[in-house]
Amino acid sequence: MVGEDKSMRIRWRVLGGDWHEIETNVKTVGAFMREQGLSIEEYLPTIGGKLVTEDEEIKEGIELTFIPVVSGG
Amino acid sequence: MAKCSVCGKPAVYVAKYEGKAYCPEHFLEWFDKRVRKTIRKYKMFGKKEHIVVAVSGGKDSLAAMHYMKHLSKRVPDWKLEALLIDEGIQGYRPVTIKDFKKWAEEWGVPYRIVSFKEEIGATLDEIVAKGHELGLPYQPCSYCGVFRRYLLNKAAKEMGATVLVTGHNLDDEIQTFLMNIMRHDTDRLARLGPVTGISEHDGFVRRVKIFYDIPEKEVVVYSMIHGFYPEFVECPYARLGFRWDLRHYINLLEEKYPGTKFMIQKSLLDIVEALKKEREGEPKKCKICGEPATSDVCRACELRMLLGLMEPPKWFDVKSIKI
Repeated sequence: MVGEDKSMRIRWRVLGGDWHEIETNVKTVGAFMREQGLSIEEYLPTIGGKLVTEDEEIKEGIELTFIPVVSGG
Repeated sequence: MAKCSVCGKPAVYVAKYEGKAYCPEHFLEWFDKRVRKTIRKYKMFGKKEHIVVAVSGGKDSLAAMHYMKHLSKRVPDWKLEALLIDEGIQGYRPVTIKDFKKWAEEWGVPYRIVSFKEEIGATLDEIVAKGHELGLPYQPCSYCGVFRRYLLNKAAKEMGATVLVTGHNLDDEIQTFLMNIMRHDTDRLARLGPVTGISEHDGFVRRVKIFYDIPEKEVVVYSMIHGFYPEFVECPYARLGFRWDLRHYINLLEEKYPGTKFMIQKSLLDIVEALKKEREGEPKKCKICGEPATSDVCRACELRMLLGLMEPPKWFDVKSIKI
């Protein structure tokens, strides 16, 4: 159907934490972060070890790792 | 996908506060330009310096060591060394020391490691336990901050340093500023700024914060692009401190109102300048250890006496210490 949001299965984690596998229908990394309650000021998104920006498109099967900005040291 | 505002290649970072995006190459160029501007603006270094970088093995201080290593290649009369304070935090510091040693050796930076255990008489873990046992009202970060600053100055002086570089960034500075405002600690407020230390005090090594104008997030991007983002470990005491909550609130504001952090910093600089003029006075030396102090006895000696790690001299009454 036109306009229907397609659900995608992705994996994500915060560096140093466990992987989560979830279904999502958000379209961008920034929207995904907001959905998970991750502030863009506190986490940097990466895919395959490379930094990406908030407007990066979410694709089926991607693995997102969020790098904590705050190291707590 | 965001494109680099300079070359149009895919961007890895968007600086919302200035409405620009950067690819890795142009991010590093932009980063370097701003750090060099900070160094010039605050006259951080002279032509001949013995520079000691205070390093913990975390990303900020590793970035400072990396940056200074590259910058010092251009200045023949600069000598560069690193200094790490091992507080003795089980499960945390050993990991960052491993990272520190790996990179210091790879980048060819000579270093010295000084420990709380040897110099203060106890590890931070032991100090926290002792403080709790004695009913002292301090958070772990309070002990750690006082003893770390004390040892950094003492050890840097022993190494012959003319200047001590720390990895403090924009976020660190404005957090400290707001914490001191919220605690009404105007003495500590007056000691903030990009260059600190009482220059005319022979016992004080001048401290400079080369990342003063760089948000914490951008220091992480710098370390990731250069491939030395360290293994992620968190200090077990970090979440107990006031700073932990405060930085989260500041980050929420920055996300909603980009540029907030820089505006707080501007206010900080105006206030600190006014306070410094008002409080100019004779620099003091601690009557016990001889290190720089704001009163007759430095805070490190006060805490050591409170913790029972040092015998008070006969002329000193421990009960006079302000808790």
